[in-house]
Amino acid sequence: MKKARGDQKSQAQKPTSRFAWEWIFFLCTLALLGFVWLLDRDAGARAWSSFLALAGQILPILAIVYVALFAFNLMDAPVWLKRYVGAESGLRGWGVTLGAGALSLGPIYPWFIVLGELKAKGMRPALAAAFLYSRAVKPPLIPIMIHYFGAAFTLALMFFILVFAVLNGIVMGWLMSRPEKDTV
Amino acid sequence: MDLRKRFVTAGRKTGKSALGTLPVLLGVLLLTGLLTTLAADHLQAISGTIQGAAGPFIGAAMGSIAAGHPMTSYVIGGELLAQGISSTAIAALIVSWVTVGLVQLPAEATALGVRFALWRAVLCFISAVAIAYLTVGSIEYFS
Repeated sequence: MKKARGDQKSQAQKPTSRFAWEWIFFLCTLALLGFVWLLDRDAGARAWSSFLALAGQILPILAIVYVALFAFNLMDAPVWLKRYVGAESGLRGWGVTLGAGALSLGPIYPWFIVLGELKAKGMRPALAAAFLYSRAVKPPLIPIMIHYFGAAFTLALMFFILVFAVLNGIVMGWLMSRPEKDTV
Repeated sequence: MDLRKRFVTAGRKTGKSALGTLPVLLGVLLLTGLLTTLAADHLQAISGTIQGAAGPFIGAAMGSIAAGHPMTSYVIGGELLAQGISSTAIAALIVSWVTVGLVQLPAEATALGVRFALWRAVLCFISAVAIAYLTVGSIEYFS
């Protein structure tokens, strides 16, 4: 009885404390910036400017992502999701994921949110990991990379990144399918 | 389910997602700002530590901590190459820069789960070193 009451209490408290650590994390980073500013005002000011510039780039993209998520949440596990990245997507799933990862643009943060939603709706963890890894292939930046390191180095690096995107995906899929107590 | 109820449910879900991810993302952006500022100030000192047999591991570690546009890693890699740092260490730095992202870890953990984010970081670090050796090794083999 006592335990049941305790469970009810903890469940009742859950909604209010749900996002507590997220806000604590944000306040800690803000405090860290304040600490750096106290030690070195110039570095603190430059870090703050850098943050504002980054936020200016990312927040508009996030707004679009949340609108897309809202539209996505209106649907119930769409058919295309199961077909292309779901449990039965097979080789097509790998092809779609690697291609989409390599061609995906912009900062990684909005992609975390998109992948989190897709994963919750049935995307294979292996494909989520492979997508994130294949983002290391940046076709628009290949000419710059060739300029700095040469064509042979760039092509070999891109090839191995794609190979390891698949390998990492396979290993992540296996790790995520294991019971939680056996892993990190 | 009627349309109004669907809209309310979708709005709630999206709102919850935003409430959970926004503070972490803002915190991660603050950390990124701090890190890029401090790393730029100490680039010369950092480059001295990336020499020798441990170079690829130190390169991968630096890339894992670093944050910012991938092009920055190419520019830093180019600078380090000109200073005589090995291609293997630079390859490890470039790959881990775009694949690991320790600064982004809280954001990844919030969206995809702590276990997923931690295991991925470990695997990506090991892969960055392996890719670096394979890339340079294959170039040397075929040339």
